[in-house]
Amino acid sequence: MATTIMIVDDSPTMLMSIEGILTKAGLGVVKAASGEAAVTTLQAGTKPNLLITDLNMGAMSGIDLIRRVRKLPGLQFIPILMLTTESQQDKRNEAKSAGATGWIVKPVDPEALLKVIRQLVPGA
Amino acid sequence: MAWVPPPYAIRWFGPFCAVLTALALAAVGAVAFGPVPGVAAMAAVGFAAAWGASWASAMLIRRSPALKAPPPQEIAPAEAAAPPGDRPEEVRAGDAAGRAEIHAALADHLAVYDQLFARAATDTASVTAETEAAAYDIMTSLREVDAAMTELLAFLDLSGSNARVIEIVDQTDQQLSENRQLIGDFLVRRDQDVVECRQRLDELDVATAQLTRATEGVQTIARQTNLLALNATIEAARAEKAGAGFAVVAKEVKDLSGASAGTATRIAADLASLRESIRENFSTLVTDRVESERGELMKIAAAIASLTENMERLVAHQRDTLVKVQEESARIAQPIVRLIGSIQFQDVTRQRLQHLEGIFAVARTHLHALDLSNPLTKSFPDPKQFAEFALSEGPSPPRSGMNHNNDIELF
Repeated sequence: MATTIMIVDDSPTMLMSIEGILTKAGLGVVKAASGEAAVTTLQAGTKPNLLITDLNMGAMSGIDLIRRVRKLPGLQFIPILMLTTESQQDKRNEAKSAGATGWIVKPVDPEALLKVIRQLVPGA
Repeated sequence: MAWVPPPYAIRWFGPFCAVLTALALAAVGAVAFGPVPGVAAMAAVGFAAAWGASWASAMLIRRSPALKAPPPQEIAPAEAAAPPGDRPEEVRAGDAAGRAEIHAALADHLAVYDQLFARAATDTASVTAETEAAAYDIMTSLREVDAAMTELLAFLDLSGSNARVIEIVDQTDQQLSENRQLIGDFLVRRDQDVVECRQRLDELDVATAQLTRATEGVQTIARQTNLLALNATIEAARAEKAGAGFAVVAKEVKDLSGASAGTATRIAADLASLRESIRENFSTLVTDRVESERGELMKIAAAIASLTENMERLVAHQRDTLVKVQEESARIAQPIVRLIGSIQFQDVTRQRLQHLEGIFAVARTHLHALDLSNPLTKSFPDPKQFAEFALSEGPSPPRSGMNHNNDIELF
């Protein structure tokens, strides 16, 4: 079964960029342009192997999204990476407390991103 | 007594405004003219202009009689909120006039800064929108290029173009080799046919020679028969009348021997003519034609060899081309991925600009809080609060060259 990664970002360019990197590596991609859209997609039954989310996305932040996802059945333990321009330690701690698996500061090298994904999702 | 700003506030107000203006113009300059020259030029211009303006206002403030009153540190902030005239015993007429002048000048500067901040906000929003649209276009084009490259490689893999061409050429080469072999075999058989024809001709020569010798025997017998007929004629003449009949027989035998000799001579001549005719025909039909045929077939064989060689060249070229296409496609794939990754700069830029907009908004609020003519102003704003927002919040500090720093932390 192909590995599926969900990308959540309010920037269409970022969505396309990360999607391009992942699809070139043979990974399946599900995109969401907001935290609310991501929750709706996940509630509809989509079960990604890993979730990558931006931090600042309008109404629902990436940290809020993580809290919502961790309450959804079957998604309590999927790896969630925060991909953001911010690097403050207090924000990282907040994301970690919310259930994030890792923190990546943009811009990220495609190979480095893929390496982390393969580390968290064996067989990806 | 009315509150007046402390000396350190007056001293740092100019640099503070200059830095803010330089920061705003540097951001605009970086986007408009590039990171290094834009930031340097616009920051220098903004700093110089704002410093000059603030220096002028600071000078105006220093010359004001109001500021020559008791040290500002001794003035409680709460007193600043008290409208002039509440405690007329503490307010001198000259001080009130000076403060009004200062407040008017400050209000003018604040109005200018309002315009600057509004312009900066408009510019940053415009830059965000334009870079986002451009990045999206670049990204779309990159994805199209990538898709085309992927399809090309998939086509090459699925169609097995290289293997297919090699297979076709191998089959053709095999057919051409078989044709060359057939021509070679045919030429060998023709050579064998010529040899066999020569053997048959030699055998015919032998048979003809035997027949010629046989005719010579017939001629010898005819000559002896003629002599015998002559002797019989002589003996018949001696017998006179009794030998008359025998003389007739002897004459008939003589004529018969002459006819036999003549026939034998003609047969010998015909055999010699037949032998010569066969040799001439053999030379024409076999030797000449076979040689001509051999020459044509050799040309065909040479053409086939040339065709084979050309096809091998074609295959080599085709193979080299396909290998080159695959190698170059694979080589281009990595830069495309890096380019796709580099498009993240737009999002980073967008968030930095949004953070700048936030800084402008807070700075604007802080500047307005410096307006002592505002009855709501009770104290100077806390600079730490502004510094904390500007330096601690928002995106990580920019790095030279926008390189990927790979700041990755797994919890």
